[in-house]
Amino acid sequence: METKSFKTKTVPIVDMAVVTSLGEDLKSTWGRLIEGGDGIRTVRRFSVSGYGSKLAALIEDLKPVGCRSAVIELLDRVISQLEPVPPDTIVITAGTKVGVDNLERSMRGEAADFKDILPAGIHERLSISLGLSSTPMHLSSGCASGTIALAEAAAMILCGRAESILVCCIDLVTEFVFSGFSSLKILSPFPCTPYDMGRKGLTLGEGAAALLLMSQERMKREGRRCLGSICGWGAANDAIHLTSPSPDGRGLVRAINRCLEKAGISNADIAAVNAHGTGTRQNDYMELSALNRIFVDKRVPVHSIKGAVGHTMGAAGGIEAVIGIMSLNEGITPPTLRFKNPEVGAEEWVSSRPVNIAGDYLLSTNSGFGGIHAAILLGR
Amino acid sequence: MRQSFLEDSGLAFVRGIGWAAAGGMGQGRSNTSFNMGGGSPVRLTAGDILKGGVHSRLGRLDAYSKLGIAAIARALEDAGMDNWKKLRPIGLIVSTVRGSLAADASYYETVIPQEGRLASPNKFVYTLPSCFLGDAAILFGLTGMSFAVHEDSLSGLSGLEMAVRSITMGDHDVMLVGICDAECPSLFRRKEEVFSGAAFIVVCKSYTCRAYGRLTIDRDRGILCNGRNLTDMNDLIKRCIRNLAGSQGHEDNA
Repeated sequence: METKSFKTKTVPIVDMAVVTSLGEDLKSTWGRLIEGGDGIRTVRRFSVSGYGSKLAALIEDLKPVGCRSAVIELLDRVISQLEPVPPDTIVITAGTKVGVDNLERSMRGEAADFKDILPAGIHERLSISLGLSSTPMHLSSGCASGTIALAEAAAMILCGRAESILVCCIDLVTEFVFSGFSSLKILSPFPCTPYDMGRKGLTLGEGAAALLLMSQERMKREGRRCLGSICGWGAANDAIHLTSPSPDGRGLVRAINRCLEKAGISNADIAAVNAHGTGTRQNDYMELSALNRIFVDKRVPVHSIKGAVGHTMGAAGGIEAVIGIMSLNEGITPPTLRFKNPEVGAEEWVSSRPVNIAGDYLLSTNSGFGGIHAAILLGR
Repeated sequence: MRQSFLEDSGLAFVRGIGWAAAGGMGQGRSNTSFNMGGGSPVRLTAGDILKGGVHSRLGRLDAYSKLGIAAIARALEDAGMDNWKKLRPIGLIVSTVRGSLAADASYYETVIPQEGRLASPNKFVYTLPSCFLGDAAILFGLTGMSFAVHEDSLSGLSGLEMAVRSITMGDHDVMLVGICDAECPSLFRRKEEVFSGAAFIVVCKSYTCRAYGRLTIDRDRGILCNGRNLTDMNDLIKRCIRNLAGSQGHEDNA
């Protein structure tokens, strides 16, 4: 059975929104990103006296409503920015520990809705809010969750399984995840500094992104505007270690190569790269290794927004895809904050200032625990 | 013209089946008694997971991860793919309802005392329901994509459809796809209890003489096995085993 070629088929993004520590919507988040805004603050939501880091990029006024998880409130904020979605829209959510704040409350003897502890429950609440009856489908693959969810949504549309899919990526900073990353000793004691020689770890952040994907035909029938497109994707596993990436970047290289092959383009066509850029020694080193292997003959602008909005875990792929689309449309990439003393070789790629770009494609990558790497190619 | 690629494609074959459930552990070709429902919760020791004995990676696994790895190991063996020397671009998808809920509760118990100073890093790693897929990738040399799909009832069909679609679109030639749920922690136990256990199947692009059945995706009806609707992964596995038993000596399921 011959596999049909899916090259050169793109999936339009017709609506998108974000909520981050930098801003309550896309306009404010984008504006502050370009200006070099910094969302990292001292954590006051829970006690951090037991941890080496006291910092995170929180949405300060985000609180749970009654017994519901704070995730519901965050989702409400992001979807309120969207135009009405068609009634046959399928919803895919993505995140790592959505609803875990309710697990915390339950285990501390506080009132909390059990339904919100399981991701399918969150998905159901979201679908009801949107007036949809979508079968619960929440994807989770560590910090690559958002990118993989976008890839799966694009695949479903290209295969004719759906005409309209809303992807919502979301994660919170809770004591649960903060303590966990701290126990692994990968939280930075100061605001994270991706690709900097002095980097000492990541800084967590929270946020949400929503992207509405449609088939080309449906977009035209609905009279929607194409904001950008998903042109290709790829994912791969290092198969070496659960929490540390392979230093030579082999898994990320595989993922990127699969992505470019699916899109039918070469690295010469890429205008910029949104990298995972967490600020850990291992991740940033791995990414530079991978970039050197992918872009043998050229250098492209590479940025990480995690110095500004923190590492938003499962939401990162979605937030960074939205910012990637904005970068392509505006012809400028955000600065990588606090990039002062470059890791060896990083100065060839990364800048502490916004960079003007020209081109039709931006590559966005994320990596996660379990050895997973995911790449998505965004187009204008 | 409508852009759809499934009317005459979306084709893959089931090549191996393995499970770890209340009714016991087994494989499609060596155990015809498959039962995922009911019974006491399945609790595996590190020595139960792999047939060849204990592996150094397995001792720290939580209950959910043990079930998943045990089922994956048996599915690969059933498919004749358990021995390997080179890394293989095989992907993994697991569907789950509770995911790492038991591991989450176990981890958070180490956080509550002393404001997190005693938080366990080993337990934290397994609070991601996709993490055991990473262990499987290391144990069996699998370099494809991997993720978990959370559902509200353990049908497994969304994940199965994604696996077949991945093969159809040329992203993978082989996928491991399954269902997995561990016993629910008592604090969160509700009346509508999902069973505990795991079952995985190996799905391939190419037909082989070892194939149990043919999977296709219908745009309106979803995933089909030999042209027939499926209710869930349980249903698929039972059909595959019956199909194989009914066609012994003529494993022509294409």
